[in-house]
Amino acid sequence: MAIWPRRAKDLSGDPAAYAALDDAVLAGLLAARDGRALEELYDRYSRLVFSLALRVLSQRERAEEVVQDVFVKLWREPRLYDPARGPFRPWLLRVAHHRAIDEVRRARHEVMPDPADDSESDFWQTLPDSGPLPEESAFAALDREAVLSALEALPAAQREAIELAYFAGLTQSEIAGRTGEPLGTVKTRVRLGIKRLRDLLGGPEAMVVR
Amino acid sequence: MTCEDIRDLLPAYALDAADEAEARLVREHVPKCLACRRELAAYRATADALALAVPSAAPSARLRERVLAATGTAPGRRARSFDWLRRWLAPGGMLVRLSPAIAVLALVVALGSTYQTARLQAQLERQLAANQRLVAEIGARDRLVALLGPGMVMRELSSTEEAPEAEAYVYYRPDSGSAYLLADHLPPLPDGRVYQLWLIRDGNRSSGGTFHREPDGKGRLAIESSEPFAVYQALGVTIEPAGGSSGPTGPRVLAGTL
Repeated sequence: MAIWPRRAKDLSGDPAAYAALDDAVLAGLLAARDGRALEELYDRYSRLVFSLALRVLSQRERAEEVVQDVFVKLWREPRLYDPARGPFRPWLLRVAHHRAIDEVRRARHEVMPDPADDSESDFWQTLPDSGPLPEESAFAALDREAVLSALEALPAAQREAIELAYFAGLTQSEIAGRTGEPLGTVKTRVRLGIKRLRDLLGGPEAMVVR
Repeated sequence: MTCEDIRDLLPAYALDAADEAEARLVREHVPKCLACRRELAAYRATADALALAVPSAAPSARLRERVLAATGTAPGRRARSFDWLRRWLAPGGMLVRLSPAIAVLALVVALGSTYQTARLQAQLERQLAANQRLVAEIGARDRLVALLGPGMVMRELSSTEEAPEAEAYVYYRPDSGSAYLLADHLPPLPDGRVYQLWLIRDGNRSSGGTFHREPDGKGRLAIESSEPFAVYQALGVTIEPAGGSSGPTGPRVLAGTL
C-alpha cells in the first residue's frame, strides 16, 4: 500500500541538478542519450582537453578539432568509457592526448589517414587496457603546480626526453635522431625519467618493480 | 617477444611515444600479462599527470555550439531550428525553386511547425523556471549527491504496448533510498495527467513520485525512498491524474525488475 510521505522531485529541465552529479554518473547518462549530461561534461573538461591539445598542436584551430572529435566520439559511443576501469578525467585526457599526438604525427610525416589502418579504432576499443587498478586514481588530486615542479626537478636530459615524447609526439627513434643520442640512451632516459617523475609526484614507489 | 622486451616498450607506450609496430606488440601482450599490466598502469598514471602540466587556455565559445550541434543535443538544435526556414525563404533558396502551389503548401507547413517550436520553447522555459524554484526549496542537489561514488547500479526499464518507443534507466544505490530516473521517448500526456513511478515490494506498490514529460520526450525524477532500494524487486511507471494516485490506476508505460 502506498506510503505517501516520501520525497521525490521532478527534475524536468533543471540544469543545476547536473552540476551536482559526478563524472561517472554523467557518463552513464550519456549512454541513456541525455544531452544535458554531455553539456555538463563539456563545460567541466573542454578547457583541459583544449589546453592539452593546444600544447601538442600549437594551433588553436587544430586543437579545437581535437576537442570536437573527442566529445562527439564520446557522445556517439559513450560505452567506450567504463567506470570500473578508473576515473573519467584521466581517461578523457588520455583519449585527447592520443588524438592530438596522432594529428601532430600525421602533419609531421605529411601522411594522409590510411582508411585501412585499424590502429585508431583499436585504440578506442583497447584504451584502458590496464584493468581496474586503484593506483590509476592516485593522481586525481594533483594540480598543475605540483606536476610542473616535479618536471623541473628531473635531470634536464630526462625531462627533455619525456617532453619530446609526450608533448611533441616523437617516438624514441625520432628523439634519438633529433638529439643525436643513441637509441639505447634515449630509452633509458625515458624510463628513468618517468619512474623518477612518479616518485616525485609521491606515487607508491613499490609500483614500478624494476 | 618476451616479457622483458615488452617491458622495455612500456614507458614509451604510456607516453604515446611508441611507434605503431611497438604499440601493436604492447597491445597484444598486455591483456595476457598481469605483471606488465601493473607496470603499464603505473607509467600511465604518471603520464596522466603530465596532461595537467600545460598552460591553461580556453576554446572559443563557438566550439561549444559546434560540438552540441554535431551531437544533435538540445542547445545546438534549438538554435538551428529556424535556420532551415531561413534557408528556404532566402533568395535562391529551396522555396523559389519549387512550383508556386507547392511553395505555398511548404510555407504553410513551415509556419505551422515554427509556431509549434516556439510554443514548446515557451513551455520549456516555464518548466525551467518552475523547477529552479522547486530545487531551491527542496534541495534536490543534496539527494543526487548521495548517489555518487562506487556502488551505483543502473537498470533499464522495458517499454509496454502503451508506449512501445519509451525507454528509461534508473540509477540507484542498493544500500540507500536515493535513486534517479531518466526516461526518454515518452508519449505526450493528456491534460491534467502526470507520469508516476511505482516501487514494488512483495507485490505492494508504493509511489516513488510523479514527473512530467519534457517537450523533447524526456522525463527525470530524483527519488528519495524511506527504505533502502534493495528492498524493492521491481519498478513501474503509469499515467495518473495530476497530483498522483495512491495506487496505480492508469495505463503502464514502463516496467522493470531491480
